[in-house]
Amino acid sequence: MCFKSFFIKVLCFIFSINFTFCQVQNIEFKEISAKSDTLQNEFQKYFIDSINSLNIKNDKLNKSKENYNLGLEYFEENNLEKALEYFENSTFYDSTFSKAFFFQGKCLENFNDSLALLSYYKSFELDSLDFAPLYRIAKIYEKHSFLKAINIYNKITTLNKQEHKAFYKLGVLYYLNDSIDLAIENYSISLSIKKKSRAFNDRASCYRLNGNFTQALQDYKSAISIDPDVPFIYNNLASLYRKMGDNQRALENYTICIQKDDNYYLAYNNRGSLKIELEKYVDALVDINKCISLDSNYAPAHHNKGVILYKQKNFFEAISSFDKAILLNPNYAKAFLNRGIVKQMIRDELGACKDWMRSQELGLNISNTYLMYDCN
Amino acid sequence: MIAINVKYLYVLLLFICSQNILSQNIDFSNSNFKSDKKGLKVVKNHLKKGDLFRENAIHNLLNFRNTETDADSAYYHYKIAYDFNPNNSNLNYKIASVLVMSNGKEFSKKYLEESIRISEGKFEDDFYFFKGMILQLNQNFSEASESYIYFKNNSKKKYLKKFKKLLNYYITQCDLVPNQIANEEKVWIDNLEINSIKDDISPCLTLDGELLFFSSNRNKNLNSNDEIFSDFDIYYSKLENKKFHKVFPVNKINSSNNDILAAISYDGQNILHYKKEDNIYDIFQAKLNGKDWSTSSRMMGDKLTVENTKENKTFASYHPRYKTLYYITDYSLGNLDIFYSGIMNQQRNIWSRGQSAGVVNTMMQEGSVYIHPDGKTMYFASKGHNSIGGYDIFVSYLDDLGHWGKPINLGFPINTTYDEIFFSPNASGRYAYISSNRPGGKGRMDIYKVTYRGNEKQMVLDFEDQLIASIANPVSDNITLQPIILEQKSLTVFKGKILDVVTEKPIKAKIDIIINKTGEIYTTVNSNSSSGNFLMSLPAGFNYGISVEADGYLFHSENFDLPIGDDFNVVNKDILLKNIKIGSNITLNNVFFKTEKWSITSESFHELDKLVALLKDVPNLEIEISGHTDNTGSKVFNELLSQRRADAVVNYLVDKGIERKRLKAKGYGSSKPVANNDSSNGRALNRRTEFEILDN
Repeated sequence: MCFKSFFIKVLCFIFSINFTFCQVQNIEFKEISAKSDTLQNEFQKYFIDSINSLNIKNDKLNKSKENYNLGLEYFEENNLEKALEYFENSTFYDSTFSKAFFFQGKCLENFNDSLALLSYYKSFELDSLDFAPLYRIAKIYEKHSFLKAINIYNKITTLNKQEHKAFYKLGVLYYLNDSIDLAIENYSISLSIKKKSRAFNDRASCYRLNGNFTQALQDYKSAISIDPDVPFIYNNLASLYRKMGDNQRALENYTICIQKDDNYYLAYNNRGSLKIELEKYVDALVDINKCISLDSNYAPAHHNKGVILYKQKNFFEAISSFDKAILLNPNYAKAFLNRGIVKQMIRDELGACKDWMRSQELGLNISNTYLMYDCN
Repeated sequence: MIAINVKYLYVLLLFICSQNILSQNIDFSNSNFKSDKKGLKVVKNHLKKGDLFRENAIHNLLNFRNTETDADSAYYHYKIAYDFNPNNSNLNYKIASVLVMSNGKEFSKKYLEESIRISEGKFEDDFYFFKGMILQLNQNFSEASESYIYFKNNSKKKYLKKFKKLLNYYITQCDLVPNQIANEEKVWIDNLEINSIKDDISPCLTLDGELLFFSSNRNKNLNSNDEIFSDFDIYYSKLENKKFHKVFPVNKINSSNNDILAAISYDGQNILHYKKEDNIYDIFQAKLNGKDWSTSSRMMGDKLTVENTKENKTFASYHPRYKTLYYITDYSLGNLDIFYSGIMNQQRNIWSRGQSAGVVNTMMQEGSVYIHPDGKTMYFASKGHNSIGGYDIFVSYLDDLGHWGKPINLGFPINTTYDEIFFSPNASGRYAYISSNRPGGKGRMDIYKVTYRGNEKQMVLDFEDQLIASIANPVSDNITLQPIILEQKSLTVFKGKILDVVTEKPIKAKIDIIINKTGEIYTTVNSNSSSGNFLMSLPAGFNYGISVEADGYLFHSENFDLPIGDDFNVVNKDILLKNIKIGSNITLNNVFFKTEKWSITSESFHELDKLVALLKDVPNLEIEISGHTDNTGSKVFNELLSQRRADAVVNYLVDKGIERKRLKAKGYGSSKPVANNDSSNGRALNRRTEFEILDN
């Protein structure tokens, strides 16, 4: 609202200067010729017209901006339908308002990706120095077409070779597409432009998947040195140590992760599962229960609890835990496999075989062996 | 408050007094049973008899012989006395001591405790020895050891002498067994539904696991004059819905005396059992002819010959090639050992003199023997070696020199401090049946199924990481899962049927299995005349030849592979034999015509096509197709109808490429009935088409 009043004041000031200048002109020419009156009238007409036109234009701009501002307010309130209405009004009043098109697109993303894409493309067309619409376009494509998303990020990096964020995004996309080497390449370019904690983390995870644990360790440590307060990096580092067989360091880092964020449920589950491996079932149960208290819908925690209860020979309770895990994730192959093992222990051979069958259907090949030897 | 306390005091005193009365030892004296002196006299007589049987049982125990029969008889007499007077400490002890030597071991503790509770501090000389046995049975090894040592230190030397060997053996067992039972074998042990409250012993399974034979004295009705708890009969049960439910006696073999199953052949076609004749236990064999068992005859030749000596022979096992027999005998001065004998002359049933099976035998009793179908694995029961207690089951493997190797205890809980005897596995080795008098069964010896769980299946853990910073959802770590493979014995069960190629009727045939690489006949079996079934186990990894001979049928031979990797498989192979015997008359049961017409219906083509195949396979075969009717209708019509039907069949065969000159058609009308025409069933049988082999 302050901006609006300031804008009106500036317009008044310009108008007063023009008027004074015209008055002076009028005094000087009054004595020269009467014919000039006609000209003067015409000039005045044009002037008035231009002022009117300017006023109309300014009014539209004002309305556009007013609507844009209201749209932003609703957008922040997550009232997207209302926000969209105002952004559409804004672009109606000012069809060159790139930002309004951008936010129009953001609202539309929730209703119609195609319309959102049109808005983003328009936004970028109006301001090709702002890559934000392209990032959104790529984001939409990520849902539908890996290649189209890659193309958009490549376009950004072609337009600006210093756009580290686009290289990072390329890294993520290649990772998700299991092209780990290409992911590492793009993360590396991103890091060469700007050293960011998350890029180090992600590249470390790529190295970890490639079995290059040394490089992974170095990157996780670099990520922590840049931003020592990100809990999940400690969690990832812990899991790496676990893979490297250094269970002590793994436990330490899971614990640091929990210290950084005592609501980080993954770390409780992970530390619990490590304790199961170390046969510390009582301690493990404390961690797993904590994880469940933080997120009772986290299926792997119920699954791991089932494992502990099985190890403690509480077979029926173990089955209940696996039941919960399967209820939360009906395609949980590991839970079916493990529940089958418990069922076999309580001599429910038929139930065990059914679970292994389901586990096999879900792609867990180990079930084949059990089906072959234990289920005729 | 004081009043209440006094009240409580009275109650307490009353309780103490009642306890004293309850725990009082009551002797078998006239003064205690003034009102029933006659009854007391009878009971004292039973006590005397019981003592005699108890002495025999102890004598057998100390001389490493079986004690169960005498112990059961002693218990029978003691129990009569016990019912008369249950509050005699010495009697309770004696019952405990005989029970621990019987198959009712699990109840010995109860009587021992009662004996101690009501005792007046006087015990029999052997009290601490049997107390040790009962404590050991109940896995109180340190207390058992203390009791044995007390007995050792406090018995007179002369008396102790006869106990010495066994006592030292038991003391050593008490030291070693706790470690043996610390690690449990990964098995499930289930009591079978078919068990009775009496003894159920000697489970013998056919290789395919479909039939379980065993012995039981379940139908022994004890009357007041009975002393002997035996009279075993042989029974079998068929697998139904993966369980054995119903029990049937093998009537043809069972007699009024003890008939105890010793073994069953791997294909279930032969039974070995032992019974007493002329005061000697000997092994007999019965064969399955169709659905009936033959009367049994001595397995190892005539009695009391040089080969079949006068010692007792009890449990036995076939060898997979049926040329050797393993058996339990008391040849070694009464001590039960495993011996084996080979057949020298099959036709005259002459066997070689038995030889000891070597290191599997001990100074203690060996109780049962089973040779695995691989021919290289022996399961046997023994009270010696490193037995956990009583009879345990051991396994021994044949080495390259043909010697049985050092026995390995099958471990706890297959073996316990109680008796485990017999071991009958299925072909895959995944499960086996044993017999045991362990507690928790239906009574005395019971049959248990041992199922090997294999190594513990490792559970898969799940942990997830937030591997990619920009992705909120955690990503599961890829874990390489290693399956746990069960360790099992590898044999392929080769089973099937021998059938007539046209009629698919079962045929009794001799089947030779030849290892083609060496030309050696691996085994010879006969198919069952009633079902045509045959069953055997063969090692995988060989190319085999199978030759089948049956009277009147064309000789059949073929090759087949059992590649490695076919382990645990059941290979089914039905063999169809071609009947070529001149004069054979075969009814084509599945050839049909329209009513009172001679056009063949399509349902007949399958059987007729098989006849076509037979005629093509045996080019010299000439046959007569004959048509037959029932006696409904006129003779002329029936003859005409049957002739036309025979012609129709011949035409069908000719159409299929068989030369007409090899075929003859004849309509007999109703002149050759095979059943009575008075019933509809009989008439249906008479309406038929047959073929007779005229030439081959």
